[in-house]
Amino acid sequence: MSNPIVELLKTIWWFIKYPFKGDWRGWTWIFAMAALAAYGLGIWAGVQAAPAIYTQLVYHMGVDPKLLEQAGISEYQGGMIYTDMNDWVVWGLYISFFVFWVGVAAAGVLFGIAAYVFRDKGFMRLAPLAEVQAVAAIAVALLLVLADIGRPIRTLLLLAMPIVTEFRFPNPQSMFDYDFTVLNGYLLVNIIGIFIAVHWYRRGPKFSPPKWLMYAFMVIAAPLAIGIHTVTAFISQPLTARLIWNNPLLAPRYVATALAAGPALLLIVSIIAEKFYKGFKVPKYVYEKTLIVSTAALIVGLYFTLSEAQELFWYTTEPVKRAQALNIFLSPLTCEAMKPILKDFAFFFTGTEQCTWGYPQVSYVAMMSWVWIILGSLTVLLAIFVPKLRKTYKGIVLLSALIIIAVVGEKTLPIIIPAYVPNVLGTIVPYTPTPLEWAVTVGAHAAGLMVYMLLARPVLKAIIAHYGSEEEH
Amino acid sequence: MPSQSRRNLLKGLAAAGAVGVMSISRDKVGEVFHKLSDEELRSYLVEGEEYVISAQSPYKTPEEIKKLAESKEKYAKQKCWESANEICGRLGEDSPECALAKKHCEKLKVKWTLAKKGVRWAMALDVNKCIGCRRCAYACVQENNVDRTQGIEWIKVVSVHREELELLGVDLEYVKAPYKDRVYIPVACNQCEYPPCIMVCPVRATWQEADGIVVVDSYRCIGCRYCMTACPYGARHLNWKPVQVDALTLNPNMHVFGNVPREVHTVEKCTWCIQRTRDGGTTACTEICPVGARAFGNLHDENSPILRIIKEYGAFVLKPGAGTKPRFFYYFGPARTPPIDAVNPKSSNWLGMPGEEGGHGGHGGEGAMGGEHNMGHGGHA
Repeated sequence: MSNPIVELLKTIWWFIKYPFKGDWRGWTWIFAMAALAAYGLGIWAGVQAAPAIYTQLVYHMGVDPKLLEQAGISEYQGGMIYTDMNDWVVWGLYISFFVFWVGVAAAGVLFGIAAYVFRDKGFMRLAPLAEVQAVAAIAVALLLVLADIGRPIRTLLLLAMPIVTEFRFPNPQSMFDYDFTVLNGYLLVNIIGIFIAVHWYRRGPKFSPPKWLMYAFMVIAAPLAIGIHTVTAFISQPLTARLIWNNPLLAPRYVATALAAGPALLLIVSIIAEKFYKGFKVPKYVYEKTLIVSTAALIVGLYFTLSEAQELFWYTTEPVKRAQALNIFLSPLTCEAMKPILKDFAFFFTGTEQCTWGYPQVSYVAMMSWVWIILGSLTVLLAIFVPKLRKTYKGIVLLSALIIIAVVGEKTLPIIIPAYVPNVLGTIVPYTPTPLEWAVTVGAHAAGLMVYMLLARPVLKAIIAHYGSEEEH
Repeated sequence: MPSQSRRNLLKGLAAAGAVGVMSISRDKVGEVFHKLSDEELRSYLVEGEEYVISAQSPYKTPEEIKKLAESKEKYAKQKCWESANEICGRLGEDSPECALAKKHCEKLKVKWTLAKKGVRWAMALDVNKCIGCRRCAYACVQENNVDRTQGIEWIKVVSVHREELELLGVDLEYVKAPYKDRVYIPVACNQCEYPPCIMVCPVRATWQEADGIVVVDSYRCIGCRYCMTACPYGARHLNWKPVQVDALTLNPNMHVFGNVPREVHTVEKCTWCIQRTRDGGTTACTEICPVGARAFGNLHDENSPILRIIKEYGAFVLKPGAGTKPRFFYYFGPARTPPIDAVNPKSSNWLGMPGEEGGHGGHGGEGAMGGEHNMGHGGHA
């Protein structure tokens, strides 16, 4: 047994060496993502957050204003006015995709449970990659939150206060602080998990992490994984002001569809990784089992949507809640699309032949919801009744892609926007993301994909070093 | 084998528990979760009167608040002089505008008056009297140095159907008022007894003062907009762009938690004119109201108009189901403005139904002014 400190340094060197070992395709990918991320960051710092950064640095931290002006950050130009968010629709595209990526991150630990708790040999090969996905997803989520917050520098200063100054805790009643803690905790735990896996696996087939360590890891990571998404739902779930969110089904709903989208994304990534890394081989039953779990989660998610729709439409007399529910499921466009199918029933239920349901300015909400319902049901049917699909690699990729699209339709804008349209005073202020918001969102996603790529390389190398020779027989 | 895996599991649990114990010290957690009560509101004697600082406030002593007021005054003065110099450069040193702008900057004072002990402010509004003229909203903008370039108004006047006081499908952007079949409900911050907005703030940038006013400190706000999501009344507004301070229209009478110019990307809200009411004045909206629909006073004072109004007419609050216990009371007073059963029916010549406008021809276009004109007729009869 060699010196543990030397081994530790070797692991760190592994993480420095392998992210940058790849052919031209890898480099193209990384540079493309880096360019997109830099564009997003630039447009965020130079336009959206520019006055906030200037004010904080110059008036509160005593930075020389000339420095900032040279960097293109000025006091009176830019601001969040360039997003379409306003006093009525206060959270938009950023928070919508934040919710989605928190969900994807939560699913990472599912593989850890299968691998380290149930000691499944096949899942053990995939578990470190799942942790990498969790790290990348949390990175996207945190970047999106940072982009959404008006005063990013002040946020970091104030939330770090219990550490740097005397113990003046941030408001313990606020769910935001718990979400901040849990998200960062989960990020840290997953980074540690990746480190542990690489630290042992890279040394060859005879080395694997001690079992007690992996149990300890799972005991911390598993509740955190469910916790991040639960706490994210807890942010919006207890608000009496937003009737459509104010039901206890929100957190289970978040978790259910998260457990569908996260594994689906990992399956696609793993199949791609198998193409590029010859030594990396995951047994096929892992894919099949995961797809079944993913489909089961999808069924639960669809069932929750049904349950929620019943609550919203059957007896409810609460007018604002009904109006917001209408926003989720109906729009003039969906009405036109459904007319030929429903025929007389449409007249029976609404009393009019005119398509006046919902709000035309935000009809994308209803369209996305129907994408979720139709595509989700279709995927479930295909996965159950077409065994060929779930048993071939191409079929698995197809089903996984369908699941991801369906969950994007459920979890992004259709969860956030209806709470604000109609708003608390009963007026309708529409929201359509601006090009700036799309650019920043795409930038954050690109940064996440870059992190994914750079972290996946050393991890895959370590997995190959550990399992590669076993593959021969 | 099962015993082996159980031992592993126990080891893992022990390790996880050790991490948990190390990261949280028990006595400090107890400090954080202490219950807020009246006894815990720290009191101070300032010039003979007893003042209190709310236990929810992140500023624990008067000295801290004074220091904050000084730094905010420095910032406000700097912005004011920048604007004044710009105005003087544009219009000439001897122009009246220049003189006014300079006067505002010289008089600029950021006060840090604390809440008096035993005071609980409340406001009442007579829905029968309100004619929906929105003068209160404009007065509020001027008094509280609201950024004129963003269209923020702290008071929103909601026009709802008289038969159904439901906040859905309401009209915020009406241009003619008052209509017979409409009720006008000005909505601003309700200064709730249990404000959801302060519960959700992650950095304690907003809190309830000891006299019930919910304030925001723009030097702590991080602009996450969680409070705007939590507010059932839409009372909070964000500065979505850099704030323009105009020395000409600036109100130099400022309070550190009130109308001092806010920073970019921070939340602002109605504070019941904290700079006026803490010094014994009344709010700008109460003062400007042309029909006297508003009343402002101390809920704990036997002689306050609020208690008399609640006793005589009864009052209702907006969205009681939200459980926030607002201290902004609405009531239907004894008479409508103008009275609907006046001797001369023309004296109550309000606008007809919104749908009838076309039939009345040019009549509807006169709006509220038409009503005033006919009041003169009523006097003759």
